[in-house]
Amino acid sequence: MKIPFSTAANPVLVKEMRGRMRGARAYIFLTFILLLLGAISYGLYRLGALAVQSSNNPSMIGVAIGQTLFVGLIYLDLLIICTITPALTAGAISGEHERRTFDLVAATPLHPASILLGKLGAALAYVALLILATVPFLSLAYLFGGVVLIDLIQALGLLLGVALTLCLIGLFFSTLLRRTGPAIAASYVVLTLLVFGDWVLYIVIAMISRRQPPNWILALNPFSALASALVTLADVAPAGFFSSSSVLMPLLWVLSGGATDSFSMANVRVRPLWQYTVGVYAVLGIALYLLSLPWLQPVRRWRAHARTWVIILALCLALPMIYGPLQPQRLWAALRWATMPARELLRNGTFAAPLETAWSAAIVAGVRTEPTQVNQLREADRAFIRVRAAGASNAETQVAQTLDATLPSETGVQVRVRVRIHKQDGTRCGEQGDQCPLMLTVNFSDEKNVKHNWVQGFYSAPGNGWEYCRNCESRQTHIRVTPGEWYTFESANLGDAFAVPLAPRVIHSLTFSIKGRTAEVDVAEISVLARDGRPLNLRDRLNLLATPTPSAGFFPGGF
Amino acid sequence: MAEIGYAVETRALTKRYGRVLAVNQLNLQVPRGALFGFIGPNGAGKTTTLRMLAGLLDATSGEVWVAGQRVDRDLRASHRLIGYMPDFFGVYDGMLVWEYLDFFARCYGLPAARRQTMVGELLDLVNLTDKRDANVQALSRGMQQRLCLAHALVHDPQILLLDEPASGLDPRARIEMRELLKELAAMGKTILVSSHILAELAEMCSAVGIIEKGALVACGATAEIRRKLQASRLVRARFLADETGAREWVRAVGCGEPRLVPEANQTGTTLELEIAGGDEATAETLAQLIARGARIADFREAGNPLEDLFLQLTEPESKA
Repeated sequence: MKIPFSTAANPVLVKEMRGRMRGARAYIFLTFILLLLGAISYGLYRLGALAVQSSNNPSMIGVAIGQTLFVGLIYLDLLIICTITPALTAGAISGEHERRTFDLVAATPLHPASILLGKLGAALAYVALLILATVPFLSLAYLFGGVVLIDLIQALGLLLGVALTLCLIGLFFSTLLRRTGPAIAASYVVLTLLVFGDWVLYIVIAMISRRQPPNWILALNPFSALASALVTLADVAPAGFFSSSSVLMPLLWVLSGGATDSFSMANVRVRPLWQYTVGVYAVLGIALYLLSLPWLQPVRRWRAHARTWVIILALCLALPMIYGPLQPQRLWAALRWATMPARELLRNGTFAAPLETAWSAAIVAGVRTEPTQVNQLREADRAFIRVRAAGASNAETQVAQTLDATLPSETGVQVRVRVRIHKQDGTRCGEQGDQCPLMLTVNFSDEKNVKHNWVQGFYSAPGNGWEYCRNCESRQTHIRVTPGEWYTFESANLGDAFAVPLAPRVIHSLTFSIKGRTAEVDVAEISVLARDGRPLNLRDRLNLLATPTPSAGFFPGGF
Repeated sequence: MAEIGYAVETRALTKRYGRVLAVNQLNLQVPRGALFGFIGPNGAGKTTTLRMLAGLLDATSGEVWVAGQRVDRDLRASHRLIGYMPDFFGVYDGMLVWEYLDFFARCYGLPAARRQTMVGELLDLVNLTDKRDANVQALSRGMQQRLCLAHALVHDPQILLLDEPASGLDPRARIEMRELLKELAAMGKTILVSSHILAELAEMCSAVGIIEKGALVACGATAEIRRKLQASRLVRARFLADETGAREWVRAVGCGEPRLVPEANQTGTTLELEIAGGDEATAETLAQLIARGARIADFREAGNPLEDLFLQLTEPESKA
């Protein structure tokens, strides 16, 4: 097959450009758009100024006006693109069929790809012209400040990408259906599904799983993708108009599917949505383009069709390789995780040696009404320690070991322990779920040298109030054990229990706390294992509708 | 290879649309340099066949060979050999005549310099030079038809497939189109022209193929088919006698069983007789009839022989 690109201009592109730009229609439309943009820019300018007046922060006037103008105009552009683009291409091929000109072109040696690319280029040039028309107004925003060049480039690039995909959707239906009316209808139905359907899906998943779904669910929505590119405006002027304390910023944040940690109330920074959108739209666009091609061939080539499907399948597989759990380095890490031996970080985890050699015990909070007993016992061939405590409601006894173990990068950590709970008073793990009779805590620093606590609670009483610790950063579900029986616990990779997975670099300490008024708890065979690599956790990542595992959510406690 | 001898050849070409058999086992042979008339009533499968020849339609089965190569093997190479003019075609909005030709020249990848001269030459050929900067939509039907013919010539193809090029034209435009085709034939191009009107093609075509209900009923050089016709000629004679008497006269001269032609407002009986042989035999038959005392008021050939053949071949049920 000959490559359809040549040094000569694409005939279809030349023809389309001659036709589209001829006559007064194009100029009238452009003039109208420019007037509209001017009027709206002025409106946004007034709005921005007004908002700052009420906020009593005169130093922020420029930033406020600039950012309001910028966000407003970019969204206006997107609105214009969504409105006109499908109509621009939905008639491209079907119009040739309807005007009975298609056979004339099909009887020439012109490659179908040339036809498609010519039509695409012409439509895209028209959209680009409209976007270009807003650039002078956008530069006004640039003048006022609060916007940096990268924001402008990012936003315009995204707009062009969305326009390209919408063009291809229109072209696909135009090629497939061969009639302009149905092609336009189908294109707008798909656009509606992208814009609203994606949000419906997002909300449905949120309601079923009772937690905030990952942001990539919204990747198909161009408005959300754009929002995710615009939320960085808050970084430009942290105290500015679009700071998290203003009204518009959280709106954009929610639109972009961003999560807010209900513990710190900080916005959880994950991979921005638009990066997913670029990938998904690229695959969608290429797939639509390839699927359209055989339909443009006068004599159908089903072999070409089969090849198309293979390419599309490969592209779909490439997406999780790029973004998701199937990244090559992730796969490599998972392989190492599964095969490499683990290294014990803890000393005297079996309590074979006297407790004091590695462990320290202390009453850290509340008042114990009788002396806490930490006894080292032996049962069959297993040594364990028994902690008996009695005290006020928030009393806490801790047994801890300081590790200060530095780990090489990309090392996972797992905790293993045997526990037995004899007695528990009360029926809940405290008001915030942080007062289970036994709480296991690993304190570590991540790669940025920020300290975190991984917490796992154990309880035995039925009717527990909270399934997980609400004010803990890691959201491990508490585990209910049968009273008086040994329970063996093995944690998943510690870093994966956080809203944004963390990579522990220094393990500072391991602590088990005995909380509540009265408790009698046995702990044995405890170990902290460092393992090379990282588990894949496919189930956690893909199983969106699984039983609610609490995580940092925008909807605290679910719907 | 045998197929080299033909500009266009089909082998058992069949196209089926669901249950409808549009083209059935068509074996068409168009010699190089021929002006070939492809004749058949509306819906006979002419357009379907031409679209398959032009590589615009998949055949259900069978093969299409153009200039010694299979069309579906290398579609784009075939397209370079063929100029195709469909029966119905549209024109683009807001396009000028020269741009129209320029567009198709670009589609064939012609370099800019050649496009320039080619547009002028073609407009000259189809007599549209003064319409060079006119809007395509503003042209009359005849002019559009000529422009479409010009578009099929931009790449100087060896073979032209013209689907009803004269349909919808007034008599004058029809004659112009005919002259144009003769001119192109004189340039050595193989032209396959379809029509549902035989008269349009009979006198200018060097060969004809007649198609009916998707099947080829006759195919060959026009002269050959004419000769075949002259071997047996149809004559209409009005005898001043009743039917029995008239039939006796005819039987006496050995012309077989004649067909009665009912004619109002005429005296006597009109019979159609088939005479084996050419002009000599016809004259002899008439002489014999008169010698046997037949009283004949009118004696003439029954219409155009090709037209008759066409009717005979394509509408058998009307004869029954």
